[in-house]
Amino acid sequence: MTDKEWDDFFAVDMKPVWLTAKLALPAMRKAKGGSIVNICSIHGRLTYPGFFPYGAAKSAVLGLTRNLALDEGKHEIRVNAVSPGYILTDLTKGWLAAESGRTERANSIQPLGRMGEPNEVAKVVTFLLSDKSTYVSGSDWAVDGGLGARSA
Amino acid sequence: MILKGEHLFVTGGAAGIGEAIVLGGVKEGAKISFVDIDDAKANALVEKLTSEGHQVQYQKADVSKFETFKAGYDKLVSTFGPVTVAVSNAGRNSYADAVEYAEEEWNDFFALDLKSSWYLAKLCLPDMRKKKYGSIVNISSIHGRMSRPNFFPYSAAKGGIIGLSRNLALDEGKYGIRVNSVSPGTTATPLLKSYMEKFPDEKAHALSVAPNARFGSPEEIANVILFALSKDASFITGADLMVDGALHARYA
Repeated sequence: MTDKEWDDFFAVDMKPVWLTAKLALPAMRKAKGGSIVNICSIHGRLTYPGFFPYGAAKSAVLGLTRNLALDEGKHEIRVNAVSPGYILTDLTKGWLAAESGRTERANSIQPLGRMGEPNEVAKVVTFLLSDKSTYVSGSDWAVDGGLGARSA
Repeated sequence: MILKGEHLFVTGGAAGIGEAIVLGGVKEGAKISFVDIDDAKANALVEKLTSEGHQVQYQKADVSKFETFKAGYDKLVSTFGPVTVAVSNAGRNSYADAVEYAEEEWNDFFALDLKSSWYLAKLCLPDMRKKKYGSIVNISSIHGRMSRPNFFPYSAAKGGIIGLSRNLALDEGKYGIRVNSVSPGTTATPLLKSYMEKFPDEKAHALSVAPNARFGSPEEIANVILFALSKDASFITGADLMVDGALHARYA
C-alpha cells in the first residue's frame, strides 16, 4: 500500500463520516435535536484475512461515533453506528463472485443460514433515526445475523 | 403495529421496564402473557388493559425456581397458545462484599439474574423450534460490559446474559429463532430508585455523567426491546443492543 492509497481509502471510508457531521450538526444544534447514524461494519470489531486496512477505517467510525455522541448529547443530538454483516449489496455480490467458493463459505458461516438483505439494515437505521429510539446514543448495533457472535 | 399476531411473554411484567414492555406491546398489536411476584400490581395492570380491550393475562411465578416458573408458563400457554416472542426481564441488583457474601445469597442472586434467562429459553424454545420462528430478548445492562463500585456480583450476572444470548443465537439460528440482549443504562425504574436511596450521592453523579444529562424512561427501553422482537429486526441476532444515552461511550 502506498501513502496515497492509504489517504484515498480513508478519505472515502472514514472522513465523510466527520464531514457529514460537520455539515449536519449546525442546524441540529440550533434545533436542539437530531439523530445521526453512521454505517460501520462487522469489520469495526472483527475482521477477516485480506481486508487491510478496512478494519482500521471501520473501527475509527465507531470511535468517532462515541466522540460525537458524548459531545452532542447536550444538544439532544443522538449519534449511533450500525454494523452490518454480510448483506447482499452490489458491493458484496461483486466480492462473492470474484472467487469461486466464496458464496458457499459465506452462507455456511451464517448463524441464520443466510445473508441479509439491504432493507433489513435500512429498517434498523430508520428505527435509530426515529423518535422510537430517543435514549439510544453512542451505540454500535450489529445487524449481522449473529455472525459477530461467532469465532472462526 | 410491529407485533401484530404475536404472543409476547415477559418475566417481571408488573413494574419498571417489564410494565413498559406490556404497555407498549399491546399498542404494537401483541397479546401478552406475563409472570411476576407482585399479585396486586400485576392484577391491576391486567384489569386496566383488559378493560381497554387488550388481550393480557398474568400468572404469579418465581422465575428463579424452574418448577414454579414452568407451572405459571404452562397455564398461560394453555389459554393463549404458543409463545412467539419473549423477554427475560425479571431481575434485581446486588451490592455485596465478596468476602462477606454467603454461598446461598450467591446462588439465589444468580438464579434470578442469570439462570432465569436459561429457564425462559428452555420453556419457549420447543414451540419456537416447531414453528421455525421466534425472537427472544434477554435484558442485560451496561454492567454487562462496564460496572461501578459496590455492584458485586451484578456485573457477572449481566455479562453472563450477553454470553448466553450469543450461545443461543448461534444454536437456534437454524430454526429461524433470533436471540439478542438489550442493555439499558441508567433508567428511571423502581430498581434505580432503591439504588439511589441506598447510595444517595449517586443520583447527582449519574446525572452529571449522562451525555444528555437525563435518565432513560422505561418506555424508551421498551421501544428498543419491542423493535428487537419484531420482524423489522429480522437480521439482528446475537447482538447486544445498548440503550443508555451514550453512557457506555465514556469512562469515569
